[in-house]
Amino acid sequence: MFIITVAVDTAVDRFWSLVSGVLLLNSETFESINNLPLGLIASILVVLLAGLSQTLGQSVMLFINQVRPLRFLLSVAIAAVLFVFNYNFWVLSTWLVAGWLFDVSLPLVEVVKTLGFSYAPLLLGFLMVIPYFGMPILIVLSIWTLMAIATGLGAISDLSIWQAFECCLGGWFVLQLSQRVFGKAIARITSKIIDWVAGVKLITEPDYLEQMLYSGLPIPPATTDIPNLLGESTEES
Amino acid sequence: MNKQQLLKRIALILLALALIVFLSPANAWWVQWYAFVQNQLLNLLLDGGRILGISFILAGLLAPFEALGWWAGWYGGNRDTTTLSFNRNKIVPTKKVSSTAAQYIVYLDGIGKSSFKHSFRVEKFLQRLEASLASKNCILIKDIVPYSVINLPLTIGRPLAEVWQWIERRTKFKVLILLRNMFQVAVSVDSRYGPIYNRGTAQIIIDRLLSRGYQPGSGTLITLIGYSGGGQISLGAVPYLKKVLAAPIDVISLAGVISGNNEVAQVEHLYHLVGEKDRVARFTSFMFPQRWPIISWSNWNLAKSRGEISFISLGKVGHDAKNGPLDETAILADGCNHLEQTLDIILRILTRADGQEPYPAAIPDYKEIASKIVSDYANYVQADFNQPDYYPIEQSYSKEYLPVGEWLGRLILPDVTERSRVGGVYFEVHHAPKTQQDLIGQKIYLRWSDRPDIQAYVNQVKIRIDFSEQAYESVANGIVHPTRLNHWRQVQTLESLAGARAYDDVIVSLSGVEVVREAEIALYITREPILITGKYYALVTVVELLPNNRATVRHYNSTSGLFDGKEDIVYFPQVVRDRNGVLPSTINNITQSPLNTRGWYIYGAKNSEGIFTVRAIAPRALFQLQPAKVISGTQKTTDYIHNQYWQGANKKKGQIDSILLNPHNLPDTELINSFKEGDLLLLLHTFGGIGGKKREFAPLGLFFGHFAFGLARVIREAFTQELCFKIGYAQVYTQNTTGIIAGSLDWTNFTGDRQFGWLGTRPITDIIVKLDVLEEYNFGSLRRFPLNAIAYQLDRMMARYRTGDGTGATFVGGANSCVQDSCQALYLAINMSITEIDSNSQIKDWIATHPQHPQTQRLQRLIALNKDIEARLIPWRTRADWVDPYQSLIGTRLADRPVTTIVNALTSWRSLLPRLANDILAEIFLNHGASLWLLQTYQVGGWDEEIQPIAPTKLWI
Repeated sequence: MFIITVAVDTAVDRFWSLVSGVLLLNSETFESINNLPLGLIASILVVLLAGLSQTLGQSVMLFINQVRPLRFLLSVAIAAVLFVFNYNFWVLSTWLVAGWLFDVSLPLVEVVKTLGFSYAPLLLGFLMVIPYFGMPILIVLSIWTLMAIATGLGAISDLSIWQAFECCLGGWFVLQLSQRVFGKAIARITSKIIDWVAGVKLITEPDYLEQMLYSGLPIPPATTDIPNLLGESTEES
Repeated sequence: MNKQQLLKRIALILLALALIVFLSPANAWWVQWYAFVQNQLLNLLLDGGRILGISFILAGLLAPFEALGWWAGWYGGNRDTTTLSFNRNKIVPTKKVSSTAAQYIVYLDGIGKSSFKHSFRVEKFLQRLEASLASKNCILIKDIVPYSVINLPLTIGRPLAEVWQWIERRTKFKVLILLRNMFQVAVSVDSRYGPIYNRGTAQIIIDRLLSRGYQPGSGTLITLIGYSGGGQISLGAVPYLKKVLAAPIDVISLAGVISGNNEVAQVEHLYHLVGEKDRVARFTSFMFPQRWPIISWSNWNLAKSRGEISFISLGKVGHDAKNGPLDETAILADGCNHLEQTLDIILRILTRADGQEPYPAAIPDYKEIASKIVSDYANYVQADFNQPDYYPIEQSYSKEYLPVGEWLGRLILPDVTERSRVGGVYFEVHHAPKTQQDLIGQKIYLRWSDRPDIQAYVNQVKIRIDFSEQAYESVANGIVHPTRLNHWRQVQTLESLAGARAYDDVIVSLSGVEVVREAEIALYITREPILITGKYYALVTVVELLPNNRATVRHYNSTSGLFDGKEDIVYFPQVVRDRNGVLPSTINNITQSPLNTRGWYIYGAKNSEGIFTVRAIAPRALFQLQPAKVISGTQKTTDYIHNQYWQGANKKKGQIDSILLNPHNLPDTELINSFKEGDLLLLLHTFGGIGGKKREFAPLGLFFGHFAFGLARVIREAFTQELCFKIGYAQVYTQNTTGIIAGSLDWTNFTGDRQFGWLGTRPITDIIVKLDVLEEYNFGSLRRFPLNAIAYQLDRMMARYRTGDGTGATFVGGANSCVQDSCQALYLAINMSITEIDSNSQIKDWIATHPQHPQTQRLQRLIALNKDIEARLIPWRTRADWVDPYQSLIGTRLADRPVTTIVNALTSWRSLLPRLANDILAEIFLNHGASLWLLQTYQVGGWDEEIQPIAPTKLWI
């Protein structure tokens, strides 16, 4: 038994070929992911790398908040880890929805592996950095990922592509809902973690970001005094 | 052997060789070799392409990091700021160089730039530009590298500086510089990085301007000339420049690459110079969706429709280098070379005289002008009694006639060339205080006071006026626009008031006047002039109507308190009918009017025959502090506002009402006596429509009417010595056919005027608000008057309405109208008051030391009132344009910004309809303890058989 496992390639060994298979939306690749050993580790690796790549792509927020270089790297790493957690919650909710909506009983681990590899297109998330074209790239990558997810779910179950989409959508809704219900505490904790790592209180509201950009400029202070245009009644003020 | 023979021989040899190669067995080898080479070649091409693609992506990936790293402070310390400004958070205070330059010009180069050195064409262009401007008192700033947030050339102080230096020397590789800088332009365009990048370049520009002596707030014009990518960079910097320097900014885009998502609408004007063969600049208009005509809500399209972009074609000119706009060797059809043409256009823009525009964005369509509709105003001023000359200035008046104010006179708009000398407008003195009698009849200067708060206000509303296409259209449709101010720069409020109509016929009353008698005499004022009708007034009852529109009147006798004074003959000129044939006023049967017994105030002046000519009337009973009815109780008063006060309007023609709402059940006399002499009270004004035979257009019977704020003062009237209300309006009024000006209008001007006013034709309700929280506060030495904030915001709004925010026209729409923008002013005023209370340490200290003082409690109630108004006016969220002054652009029509307009209108739906807003505000004031005094008139004066009053539609129960 031991000898056989050694003879077969692990998912980690064939990591890049699996990733490229997913990128090409090859449904056989998804089937083989679940048959290869170390599939779980490889899939978590994909999610982690995708998280890293995507965070880098969206790192502008850290720059605006003037995070120092070392803390910047740490923040990106932590954000990638949080991304993995977030991913797992989403998988869980998708799995629940799949079971509840379509009565599909799939092993949870299999879903984790499959959906993890479906995140492969997001490995290119760092391309979002490119100015002006970043936004269209994000849209393309998102659609690509969604298609990979649908293909993956289709490969490991009897779900049609539209049913798979419905599962994803349902899972996403449940996740949003649960975040609204229980999520405040979690969100607070995560933002606390990130703020702590970044070393500054990260500001993400667009209005405040704009204000930050005006800081340091020699803007003449706006007077709070109200000009007296009514005349005599308050002349001596 | 000559050349031909040699060629022949070579050709023969080659042919022989070819025969051998293709026909011999070596052919197989050849084919093999060819296949191999082909394969290699393909690979080579593919590899080349791949390398190109990767370097492209790499360049893109690296592009934002200079700006981002700079902002995040990753580059550390301060560099020498004279050439390289590395310092992120502080503009180093350079030596104060004071400068009197009339204009600053900043040149931002195209994407071929790698060092401070300019290319030889640009160098030439700048040299000649500088030479041409030498006599013009301009400062030209050109040492800016627009493609680096730290103004760091590629060739100095960078890790790869030497590589860039090498590249700079080789024209073949210049494309790399273009690629690098192109991505920097993309960074400026990007919605994520753009704000940071533009902040960086803006800081460099500000730095340069300040070091060359620019005085922030001085109003000195800054012109940014952006070549190619520099166009985008200059527009990106504009919001920051505006905020810091408060300067008027023009942008000249020379073959500019402009994304259209910058705040184009913030610049005074954009001149866009593009050649017909310029593929780059033309391509950008496809590349950026904001510039597609279909994206009608983009800033670009908004600026375009507001007439803020002039498109100037350069003819058959390309983008850059050879055949570019700066090429001296390429000759145009008219024999002029490209550089000459470009210089000529730019110089014409830079040196244009005030009041002239060589390249207007919109020009009137003369076909339409031909079929021009004549405005009511133009018809009205045909009548001699509507002209100022009809009334000789120096006349003597008997004691039965008193002047309506101390300083009375006519505003005269100076000629455009006199503007800098006049510093305001001319004032023809018609009446002056006793000590200044010598000024009567003189034309002197009228200027704003130098007081800093006044100057701040004046500077805020200065604007350049260029008529938009819609403004021209509107002029052709018989609407009165400030045509004399078209293309004027930095138009200030006095000018927009004097120049609002085609003739100098604005008669005003001044207060807060300081006379300065130097070489030339000037009046300095601290308040907006108030438009009046009639310089003298009398209190009379009409005894008999005589032929030729004369009438016998009997004056009030102050000793008897009755109308048994002197008899006099006055002239009630026949007024001109409006476009619908309605007579604005009549004296038909005025002796039978129920108001005649208590008398009329008549306003006017003596004509050249010495006969007092009545231009405005006011029923005395309306202003007396004697209510016809008092309604008491919270519920009853609320109900009265809610659905009763306009009831039966159509049956009250010719009558007035004076109703006092007393929610707290005070004894009547106590409540009436609480109105004390000198009280300044807020007023809400609404008017209804004209019905009857000459009814005005009202689809589905809906007539929305009009809303305005105003101020009522309790004064002691000179003839009767009794207390009465003196009413003035703050009319936020769009341009109209009557020639009514948005501004501070006295009751006699807006309502009582027999020609221009509404007293005779429209039902009107003025609600005077008596509320203790709006009275003066005294924090130790600091005195504050809450109505000041609203007066200030309304003054600003009215000044903006007069200029249409630079477009020359305002239009009534869902998002912008008399009621929406009056309420916007109210909202801004409330915010201002709250901010002042929060931030003024003197006020805060006073509150802290006097926590139980009745005034502290009154202040808390004021804050509660403010918050309540805010919550009711803004039920959902604040309109973006009420918060951001640059998004608030009046003079934009629904068609220009359909989505935004509808969203804005719905967001502030409670202030959409005049009557609804009026009633909501009145109810809020009632709930906060106010007593309200309703003064209503229903087509008062003589009897006009052809009209009927219509109450304004409320639509909301």
